[in-house]
Amino acid sequence: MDKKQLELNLLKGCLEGLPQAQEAFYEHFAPKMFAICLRYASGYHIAEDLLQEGFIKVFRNLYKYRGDGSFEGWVRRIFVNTAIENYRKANNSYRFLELETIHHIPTNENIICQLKANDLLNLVQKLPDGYRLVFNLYCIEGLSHKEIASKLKISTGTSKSQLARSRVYLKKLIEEQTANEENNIRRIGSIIPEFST
Amino acid sequence: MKKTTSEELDQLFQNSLHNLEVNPREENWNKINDQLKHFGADNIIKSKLEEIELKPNHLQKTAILKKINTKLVLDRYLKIAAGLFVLIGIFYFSNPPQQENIALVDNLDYVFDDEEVIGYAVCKDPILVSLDLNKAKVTTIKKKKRKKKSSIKSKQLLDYILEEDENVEGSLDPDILASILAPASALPFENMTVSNEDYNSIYYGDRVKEMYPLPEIEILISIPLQILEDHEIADLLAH
Repeated sequence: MDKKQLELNLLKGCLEGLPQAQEAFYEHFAPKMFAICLRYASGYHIAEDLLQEGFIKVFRNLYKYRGDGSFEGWVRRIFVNTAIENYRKANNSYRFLELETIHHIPTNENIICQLKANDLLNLVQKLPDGYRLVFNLYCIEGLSHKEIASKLKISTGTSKSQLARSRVYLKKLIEEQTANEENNIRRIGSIIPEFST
Repeated sequence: MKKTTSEELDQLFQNSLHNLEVNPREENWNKINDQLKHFGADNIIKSKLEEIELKPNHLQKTAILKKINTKLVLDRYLKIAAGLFVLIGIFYFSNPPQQENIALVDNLDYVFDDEEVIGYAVCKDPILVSLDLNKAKVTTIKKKKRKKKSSIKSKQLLDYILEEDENVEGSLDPDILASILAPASALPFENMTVSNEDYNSIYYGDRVKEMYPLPEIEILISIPLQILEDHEIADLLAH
């Protein structure tokens, strides 16, 4: 059974109210959706709340899916919109940070490439809310600045500036992280000489 | 920041995170499942209701069409009424009604003696207003005290005449006397006019022009008719 057929069967089972189908549906989509929640949330527990809220919304609105387009894409959109709504509720309005100065931070590309997905996820979570939102929508979801502006009800200029600042902020975080790691290695090396070599 | 570096950074994050999968804790499903139990049935009903299509009865269609037609007719009448109302309004405002022919009557008692002027009108144009004394109501508004005063005056005049010639009664022609003693209503109409021109020009100046003609003027005049006693008149007429 291919992925599309599996998803349609799960959808049908959920619409009939079968508990097994609902659980299977959750098992199928939860890992991907939780990764999305982690990207948009500033912490693990907030991501869990988003996951629960998102799945409840999906189950409640399953009958609205008309079968046009990817079902996974439809579910994904619900989770992204839930994250945006959550952000809106938390901030009452979209507040985007303005860094006083944007310094060019030289980064070693090799260092970035060495980072694992989990490290990158942690870095994204450390971004301020507004930066994280725009960065996720642009870099990961692939939306244009115009689409982001329309979705968040901001100007395209704000979207662009927030993205630029989020990149600078990420590089700064990467630099700090690598610096900390090097310090840790040096500290351990001073204690255990074999480790430094 | 170089563009290539930014793009590479974006690309790195996208490749790493777009298809990232992280297993959530089992507790999450338990919480979701608890909430699903509450609206599971609703979801089924909703989806079933979405599929239902009912064709309305043809009678309902006729009734709806009838209602729509009635409403359209009513709307048309309302529009016509509104149009008429607007037209009347325009006509009214473009042709304001002439000012009512109301005389501005000021109390000018201080100008004249009480006995001479009782009622009067100030007119817009300084024109002569004819007074038909036949129609004018002649009443005595003065108190008895004033009557006595005029009567006393008349008697004094008579006394003066009688002092000149005590036989004046015999020399008087009864016809002449009758004509003299005729009531005011029988007086000739000629020259029985009143004008407001004089005192207007004196006391009002240009303001006279702003006033309006009075169609009817009630003039109350007190005329001392009782010159002789009744029996004296009767005696005179007997001659």
